[in-house]
Amino acid sequence: MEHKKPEPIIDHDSKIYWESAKNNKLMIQYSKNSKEYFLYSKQLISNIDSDDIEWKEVSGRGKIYSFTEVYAAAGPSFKEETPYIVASIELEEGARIISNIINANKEEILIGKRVKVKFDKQSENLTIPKFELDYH
Amino acid sequence: MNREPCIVGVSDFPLEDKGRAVGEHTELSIQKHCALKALNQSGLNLSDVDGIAVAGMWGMPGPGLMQPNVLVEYLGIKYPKWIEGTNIGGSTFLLHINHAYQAIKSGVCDTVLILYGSLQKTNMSRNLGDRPASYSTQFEVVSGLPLPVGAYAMAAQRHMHVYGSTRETLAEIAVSTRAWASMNTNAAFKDPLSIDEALSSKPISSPLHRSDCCLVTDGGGAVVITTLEKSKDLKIKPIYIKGFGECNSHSSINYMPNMEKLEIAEHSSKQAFKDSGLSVKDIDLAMIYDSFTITVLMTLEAIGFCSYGEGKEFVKNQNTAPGGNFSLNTNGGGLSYCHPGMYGIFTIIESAKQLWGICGERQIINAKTALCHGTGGVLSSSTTLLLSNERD
Repeated sequence: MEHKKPEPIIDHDSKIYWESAKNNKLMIQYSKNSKEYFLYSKQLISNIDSDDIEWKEVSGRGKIYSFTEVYAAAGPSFKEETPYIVASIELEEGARIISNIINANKEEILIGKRVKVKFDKQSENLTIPKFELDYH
Repeated sequence: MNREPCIVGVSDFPLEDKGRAVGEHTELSIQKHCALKALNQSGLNLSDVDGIAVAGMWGMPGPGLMQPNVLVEYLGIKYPKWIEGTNIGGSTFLLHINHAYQAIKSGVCDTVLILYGSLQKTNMSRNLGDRPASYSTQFEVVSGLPLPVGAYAMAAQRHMHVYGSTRETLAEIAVSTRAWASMNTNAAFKDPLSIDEALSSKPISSPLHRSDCCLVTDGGGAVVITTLEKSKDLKIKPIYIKGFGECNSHSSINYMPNMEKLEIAEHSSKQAFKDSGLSVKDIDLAMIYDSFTITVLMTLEAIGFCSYGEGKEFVKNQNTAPGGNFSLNTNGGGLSYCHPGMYGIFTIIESAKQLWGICGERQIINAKTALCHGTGGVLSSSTTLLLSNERD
């Protein structure tokens, strides 16, 4: 039996993230007032009004903030890929996002290592921004 | 009339070896059994109960979305004046005590019953996947982060990176907790565990291995709180509530402010100690929610039993095992006694039993003051409770 991977339940606050990923762009939210980047959470970060917040394209470069090598898969659809890496990436612009690190030697994955985005097209409807080690 | 709220009854549900509930049950009958036992211990009747607090993961979607309604109907509690159904994860029941204290103290109600029940082992309802990729967790669920273990693993990875703790540090906690469990006849795992066995247990989500993870068991519990005035007619000695605090910060681990520091526990414990007249030095017994070994390490540091980064020294050489300098998780914890999904209520139950001096082989001699700490979600919420068998 084939198990289907979970797809994001895309909503008002994540739509542009997933839509822009389909065009190989990484976009997150930005508060003009507090000058902070963020994704999904901290929606009242500067507590002014909705005009304060805009979506901006970011570099896609960052560092590994933390990670885990997963042996006990999150459900049967991930089982064949074990062990795989899930990481929290701290983007150059400041916000953290959770995704996978792919195409890497496991020994090289350490907190603080530089990474860059790699768009992973799953289907016509879904592209997931994943990350690779950045050697430049 | 002295309205000071105090604990007068507790009970936990009997489990077979490996953590299955004894007998045939539903989550509701487990809670009935616990309620009856705790009320019997206190000497109070169901008709005395005029407040109820309940949280759990049963019956959802469905009646379990409104658990206080289900329990009041099922048990036959008549017209409660105070109802509490907040759920912030496994830390919840300490928060229920906090809120019940305020309700009783201010005269809203006199006697509160706090309840919990779970059959997650029997029903095999617990797994690492199947969470909807919704709201702020949509990114991690799509990435295959096993929950909750993967979130705690990322915190552990950070803790090791920033403070130099190691897998051996975490193994110390697993081993000492098992040693306590060997003295609890109700514990799911009682066989001794060695540091080497802990280190060589199978990897789950690095750096966490099997021995770092709590059990998956059935279980249930009940706590009865009433006024000091009412307790005077009872045969049981009241347990005084000396302080409490609660705090939370995030739903997805990615939004934890600093993944290596459990800052919410710093806040909730500071709140609990404030006005209590107590400090960490006065604590004879700490019951710290051990969803994972890393949870304990981070909580010890955040509460101030040691400084941030010194946890690895604090737990070294089985310092928290029976015979060590610091009595920690004397029931065998979520790691070796039971973990039915929301463990927090068992920190209260064990503390009360220790303060009554009824723990048999594992009894802490002259235990006067206990600290209970709950964590919920993925290090998302923190609750602290200070209990004592002395009024002042």
